[in-house]
Formats: sequence, structure tokens, C-alpha cells
Amino acid sequence: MRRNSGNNLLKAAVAAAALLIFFNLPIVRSAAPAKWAGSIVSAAVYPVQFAAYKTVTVTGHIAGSFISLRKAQKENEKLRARLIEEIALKGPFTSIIDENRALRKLLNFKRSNPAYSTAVAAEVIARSSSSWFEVIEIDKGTADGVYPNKAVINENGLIGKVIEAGKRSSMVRLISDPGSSISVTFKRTGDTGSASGLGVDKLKVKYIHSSAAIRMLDEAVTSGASGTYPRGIPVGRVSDIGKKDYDLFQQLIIDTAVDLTKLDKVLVLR
Amino acid sequence: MRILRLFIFVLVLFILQTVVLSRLFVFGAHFDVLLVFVICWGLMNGAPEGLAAGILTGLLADASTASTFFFSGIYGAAGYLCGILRSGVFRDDNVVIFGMVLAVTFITRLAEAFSLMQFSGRDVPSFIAAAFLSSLLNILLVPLIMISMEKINKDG
Repeated sequence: MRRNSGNNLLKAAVAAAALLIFFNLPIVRSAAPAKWAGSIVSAAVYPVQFAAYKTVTVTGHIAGSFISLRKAQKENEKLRARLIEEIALKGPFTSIIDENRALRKLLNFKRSNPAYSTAVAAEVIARSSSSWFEVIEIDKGTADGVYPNKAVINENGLIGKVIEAGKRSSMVRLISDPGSSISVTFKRTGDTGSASGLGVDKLKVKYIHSSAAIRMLDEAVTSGASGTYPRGIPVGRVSDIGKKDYDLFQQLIIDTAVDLTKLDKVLVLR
Repeated sequence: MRILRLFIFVLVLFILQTVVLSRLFVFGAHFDVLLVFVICWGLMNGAPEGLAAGILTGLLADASTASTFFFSGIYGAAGYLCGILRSGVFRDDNVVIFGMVLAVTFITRLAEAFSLMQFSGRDVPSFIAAAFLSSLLNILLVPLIMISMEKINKDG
């Protein structure tokens, strides 16, 4: 029995290793059928995902209304009847008012920056299932003029870039994804380096010379060097400086300008 | 009928993961209901079904991360491994499933991180802590998945 278990374990380990190696071979990963399979799955799932997102958003607003109602009940018993009346009357409009406020903010931002006047506003409908990949799905695709390699921003700064565009939805790789890389310039000193993702809301900046006088909270913006991201979009602020005497470059950590864990509405630049 | 129920269940879990659970961050990590399902399915139904459920679920995870056959390979291997462990080492002890989810999530997360670093050249920061945190979070999902799966497995 123990020997059988050992054999089975060995078989499982060999099978797991073989699968891992096979599916990660560059030729398999880049094969056209593999990419088509991904696109088909994505296109098939999008409508359900969109419907689920809308349901969750509405349910969230309703749940939020009930939570605030309960708090109010505890705080002030006398106002209970009036609160119920108020929430019953105004509750359904709260979500619309919030959404309106967010959209107005985004619209004002778009109007105040002529360079972004042709940008497409989109809503985040889903997020990648794995924490190793910082990828979101938005509800705009090629039918709306969204194509791969377009920059995605909001009123606070850079979010990422479109990596795959379907007809009605697109995948956006966030700047916090370890696979992303952007060229950044520090506004105060003019030093330029390469920022790559470190997971949630943090970036690592490389190739900044150790003699550069970077300080905490210095602002980093896109340099415009890569061509994907226009120049001057806020990326984040320095939160950690790693400087060693014998190193040619210093290691900087920046906190992203945008809270990437709470994305809702975004702009795709064209 | 059972296969149809399985497909619908996987789709519901995928929607739950991408629309709700992936937005809930706990110290930078989040729940992974898809992996918990694959582990539990492998443990309950054996290696071939674990492999099939893993590949199916992994394909959906690949679609959500814009990766190509990455999660289908890893989840397939995890499902197969769990199926073999159940028939070879463990009996019908449901308590073991909690421990297995903890251990297999941790191993799977490490395999994912190593695979990304080796094959894709990606930098995966503090992956051991993230893998451990993710394992702890996944344990909380076991009762939900087990109850749902018992219903799917009932009558052919």
C-alpha cells in the first residue's frame, strides 16, 4: 500500500512537472490556437460577467443603504422613523448620485486636458482571478475604438495599458503588474528610470544613478519615451529609497498615484 | 446532468471570483475560489476528474489574466495531484480537506511563482508570504465549496 502510494505520488509529480513545462514552452504559449482559445473563452464569458458586475454593484448599493440604516437606528432612536422614510425615498438615488459625481469628475478631467478629449470612458467589470497578474477587464473594445497598447488613466494618474481588445471588452494590464514596465521621469530632478510593478499599488524604479538627488515624496510622471504612454501622466510618489555607496544605481519604490485596488471608471487614451 | 451542473458551477465560481473576490484585498492577497474548487474536486472524485476540472477552471483563469495555458496547466496538475493523494494516501476524512487546501494552495502558488520567474522572466516579489496568506484565506472557502459540491455530486 505504501509502495503504491509512493508510485502514485511519483507519477503525479512527473505529470505535474511535464504539464508545467509543456504549457510554458514559448512555442505553446505563443501558438495561434492557444490565443484563439483564450479569446473565445473571454468573449463567451463577457456578457455573463458584465451582468454579474451590474448585479453586484446594485446589490452593493442596496446593502450599503441597509448598513447605514442600521447604524442610524442605534445612534438615534428618535430619528428612526424619519430615517426609514428618508432612505426609502432617497436610497435608490444614492448610487445614481455617486455614479454621477464620479462621471462628472472624469468628464471635467477630460475637458481640462485637451490631449485627452478623444479618450474613451470605460467601466471596470472584472479583475484577474490570480494575484500574480494585475489585470482588469473593461467594458469597451474595438467597437468603441479601444485597441491594444493604448494607455489607460483616470483623473489621478496612470493605470496601465490595453493588452487585448475584444469587440466589446478589453483586458488592461495595470502598472503594478510585475510584467509591466514604464519609463518614468522625476519631475523635480528630471532623472529618468524604468518602473516595473511590485504587486498591489507599488512600483520599483531602476536605473536611477546613485548620484541623483531623489527625495521622499518626489513625483514620478511618464517620460513619453516608449511611445505607449504620453508624457507627463502622474505615476506615483517615492516611498522608499535604497541607496548603497558601492552601487551604481539606487533602488526606488514608488506608491502609485491611483489606488489600483479600487478601480471603477477609467479613460482609454486614443 | 452532473456534467452540466459542474459546468454551471464552475462558471458561477468564475464570475464570483472575477467580479467580487478579486476585488477584496487582504494584505495584498485575495481569495481564490477556483483553486479551492479544483483541490476539493480532485480530492472527492479522483485524479482523472481532478485533472479535467483543473484544466477547465484553469482555462477560465487564463482568460481573466490574458495568459496562455498557464493556469490550465497548473490547476490541471493540482487537481490530478489531489486526486492521486486521495486514493493513495487519504481516505474519506473530510477534515483532511482543510489541511490539503492549505498545503496544495501553498504548493500551487509557489509553482506559479517559480514558473513565472523561470519561464516568463517576471519578478514576483515576496511570493512566499503571498502564497501563505493566500492559503490561509482559501481555507475559509472550503465549507462553501464542499457543501455545493456534495449537491453537484448527488445522483447521476
